[in-house]
Amino acid sequence: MYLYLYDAGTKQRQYDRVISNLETSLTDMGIIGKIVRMSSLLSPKQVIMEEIRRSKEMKTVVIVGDDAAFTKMIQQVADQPITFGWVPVGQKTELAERFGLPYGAACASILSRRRVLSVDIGKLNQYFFLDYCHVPLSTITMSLDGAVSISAMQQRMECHVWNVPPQDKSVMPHGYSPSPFDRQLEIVLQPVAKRGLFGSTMATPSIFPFREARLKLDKAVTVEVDGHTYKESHITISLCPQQFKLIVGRVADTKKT
Amino acid sequence: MQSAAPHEVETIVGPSVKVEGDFNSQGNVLIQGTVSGNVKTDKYLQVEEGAKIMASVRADSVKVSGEIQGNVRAKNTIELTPTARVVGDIEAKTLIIAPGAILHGKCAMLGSSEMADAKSKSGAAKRKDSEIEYAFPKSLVDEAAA
Repeated sequence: MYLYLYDAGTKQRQYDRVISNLETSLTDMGIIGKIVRMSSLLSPKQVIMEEIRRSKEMKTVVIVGDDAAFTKMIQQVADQPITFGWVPVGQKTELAERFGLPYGAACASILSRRRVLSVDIGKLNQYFFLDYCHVPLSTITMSLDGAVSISAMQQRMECHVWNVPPQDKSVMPHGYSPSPFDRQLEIVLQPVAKRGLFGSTMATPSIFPFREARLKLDKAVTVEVDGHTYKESHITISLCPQQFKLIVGRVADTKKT
Repeated sequence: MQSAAPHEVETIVGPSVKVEGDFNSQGNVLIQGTVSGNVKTDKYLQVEEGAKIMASVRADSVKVSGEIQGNVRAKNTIELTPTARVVGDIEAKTLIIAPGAILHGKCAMLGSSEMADAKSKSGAAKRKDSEIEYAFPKSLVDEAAA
């Protein structure tokens, strides 16, 4: 049985036609299910837990919304033993494209084909992330997998962790390409090379594969997790390998390294 | 930055980064900064000019342009470029040392011990053959003595 969680953003008039076409396609393919229209008052975790409690057959949750809506919802529920589907509808659906998911009603055929892949998912403190997380420039010392301690010569650095390759690959240093199927995360460290009157010069980035990173910061900073911001003072970034089950379209990179 | 081409690098220790602790990797590693701890990888390791490793190194192949204070062991090739400085013993199947490279330590070639074993075995076999060829029967020796 399918549970469809419609993001609050899809209530806008401009998406009426897309939603109506989607529902027609889902009905045609016989994969219609219960629809819950989300609002700021509803917690996706509570809704999903409630539905699992009510029906043991409820094993697929389909989120209807854009990148921000999908990533926000999975931040709380990615560890649930269910399969996730995603119908991209909204302003920015670039992450969905990277999982081979076409916009709107066209995605119904992908859902009905039901190609489920186990995807690596990262976790920054209590927030799951599918795409990336970012810790801004600050004084950081870190330990990777409890074995290696890393610090910057000039003390300050910023950290990026990518799980999925970005669409613009030129932002990746050294031609590095992350994969959500390789059972590891990679942290990219960008330390300050020189501090001057008019700002800092950044040094050549470093890249380390890891499963758990503990970051010590001198003060609380605003971290970005899949585009959503949180203020944190202690940071633990860990990998939940192949834990997230997602219905995908054509995905180029499914190699296990 | 000089790239580690033709290898696809998985780990990069940049020039402004200091790493402490034993470092294990399954992929290619490029070191441009400082590592205080053993470095081990199943693949290729490149230590660039200005980089420093203060412990032993194990890899499939190693190219050194920086400094290593510790033993270096490679299953295949160790290449020391003109700017390399190694203080420690090195062991590899193939060793390339460019003019200008500094090496303070012993060199051992992997597979050479097997060759030495083979040589000593063939020597022993020859000795055995000679004993058979030139030894007189005990009865004849006794007769001659009498």
